[in-house]
Amino acid sequence: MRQRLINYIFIGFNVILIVLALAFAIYVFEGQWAHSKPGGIHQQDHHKKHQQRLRRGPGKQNSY
Amino acid sequence: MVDNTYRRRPGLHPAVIALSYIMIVAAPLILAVSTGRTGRGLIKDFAHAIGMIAYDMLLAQFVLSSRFEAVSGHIGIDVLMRFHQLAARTLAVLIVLHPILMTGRVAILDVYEAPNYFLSIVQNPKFLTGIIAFLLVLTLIATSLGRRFFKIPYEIWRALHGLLALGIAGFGWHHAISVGRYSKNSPLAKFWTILFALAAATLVFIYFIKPLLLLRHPYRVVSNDKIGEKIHEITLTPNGNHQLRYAPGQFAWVNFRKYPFSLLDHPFSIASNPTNNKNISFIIQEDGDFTKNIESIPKGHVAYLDAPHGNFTLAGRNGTAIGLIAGGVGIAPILSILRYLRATNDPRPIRLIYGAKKKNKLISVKEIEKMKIALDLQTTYALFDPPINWPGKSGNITHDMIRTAINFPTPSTALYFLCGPPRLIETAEECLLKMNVPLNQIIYERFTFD
Repeated sequence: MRQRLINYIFIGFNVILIVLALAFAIYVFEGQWAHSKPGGIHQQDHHKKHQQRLRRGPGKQNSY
Repeated sequence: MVDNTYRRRPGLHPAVIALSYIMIVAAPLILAVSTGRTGRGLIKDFAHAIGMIAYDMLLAQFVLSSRFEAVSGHIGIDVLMRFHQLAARTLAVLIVLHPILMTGRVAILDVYEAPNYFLSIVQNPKFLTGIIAFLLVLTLIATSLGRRFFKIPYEIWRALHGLLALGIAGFGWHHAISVGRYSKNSPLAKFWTILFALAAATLVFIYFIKPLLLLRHPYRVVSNDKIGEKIHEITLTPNGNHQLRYAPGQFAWVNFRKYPFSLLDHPFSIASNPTNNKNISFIIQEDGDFTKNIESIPKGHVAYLDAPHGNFTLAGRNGTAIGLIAGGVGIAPILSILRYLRATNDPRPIRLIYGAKKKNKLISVKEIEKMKIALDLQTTYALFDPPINWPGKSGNITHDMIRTAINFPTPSTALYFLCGPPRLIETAEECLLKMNVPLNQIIYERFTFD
C-alpha cells in the first residue's frame, strides 16, 4: 500500500514537473510573441518612442 | 546501566522535504524567466525547461542518496531510495527528450531532415560536453537497471554509480553554462555552479570526510556465534570510550575492512538493546556475496559503524499496544525492540508473530519466551517446513494467523512493526489495513522494490 502511495505521489510530482515546464515554455513564448506580433509590445514601444520624439520637437533630435 | 537510547526521530517532516524539492526544481525556471530573454518557440522552450529540470533533479539525487539523517531520518531511507529510483527514471526520460525536442519541429515532423540536424549537433564542438553527459546518462541507466543481469559486484557498481553521476553533473554543468540559452552569462549559471559544488561536496563528504570521522571510532568483534542454520550473531564493542546512541530497531552500515574508506559497507539491523551496555550486536544470515563468508570474521577483527539509520523504531511514536511481525532474519530489529521493552518493563500488551522456513532458523526463542515473565507478551511461531509434532503454526504467515494473534481490544490504536521478506510485509500490511489500522501506525522498511 505504501509503495502504491509513493508511486501515486510520484505520478503527481511528474505532473507538476510537466506543468512547470509547459508554463515556462508558454510564458517565454508569449513574451516572444508579444514582442514580434503586429501591434505587439515591441511595436507599441516603438510607437511610444516616436510619439515622445515628436513631442520633444525638432531641436532635440540629436538627443536620441 | 549504560543507557544509549536515542529517543528522538530525527529528520525533516516529509511535507517540508517535498516542498523544498519542488521549490528547487522550479528555481531554475524562475531564474531563467528573470533573465528576460525571449523564447525560441514553444517546443524548444519546453525542451529548455525539461533540460533544466532534469539537471536540477540530477543534482538533487546526490543529496537524496547521501544518508543524511536530516533528509532520511523522518521519511525513512527506503521511501527516500524509492523516490531516488523513480526520480532517476523521470530525469532519464527528460534527458533523452531534451535533445530531441531541441530540434523544434524538425525531428518530429521531418524524418528526412532530422538525421542531418542531429549530425550537425554531434559535429559541433560546443555541444561536446552535453553529448558526453548524455552518453554517461545512458551508461548509468544501463548499469543500474542491469546490475544483476551484468553481474556487476555491488561495490564496483557503487563506485561506478558515484563516478558516472559526478561525470554527468560535471559535463552537464559545463553544457548548461556554455550553451544554455537561459544559463549562459546569467544568474542561473551561478545557481548551477552552487548546486554542482554542493553535489560534489556531498560525494566528498560520504567517501572521504565521513570515513575520516569513523576512523576515530573503531569497533572490534568480541563474539561471532552461530545461532541458527546459516545465521550468526556478531557482537561489537567500541575500541575506546565512544558509545553509539541509537533507538531500538535502527540499523547500521557496517564495514569490516581495516580502513573505513572502502565501499564495502553493508546495512545490518541492530539486534541489541541500547539500554544494555556499550556492545552492539547484529544478526546476519549467510546469503549474499559478503555475508556468505560472515563465519570467517574472527574475534578482535576491526569494524566501523556508520550509524544509526532508519525510522523502524518506537522512538517518537505512541501506541496503546505493540504488534511485531517478523519473517526469517527480519527478527533482528524486532529482537532489539523486544529487548528494549523488556529492559524498560513496558506495561503495554505485545504480540509477536515470527515465521521461519525451518525450526533451526527460528532463533532466540528461549530468550523471547523468558520475556513473558516481565512483559504482557504473547507469541505465535510459524514454520514453512515444520518438523513432526511441531506445536506452532505451519506454512506462511496468513491473514487468519495475524487476526487471531493480534487480539488487542482496539487493534487500530496499536503500533505494528513488520520486518521480513517483501511478500510477508505485503500480506501483513494488507491484513492490518483491513483491521482499520491507520497506515502511519504500520512501520516497515523495505529495500527491494522491483
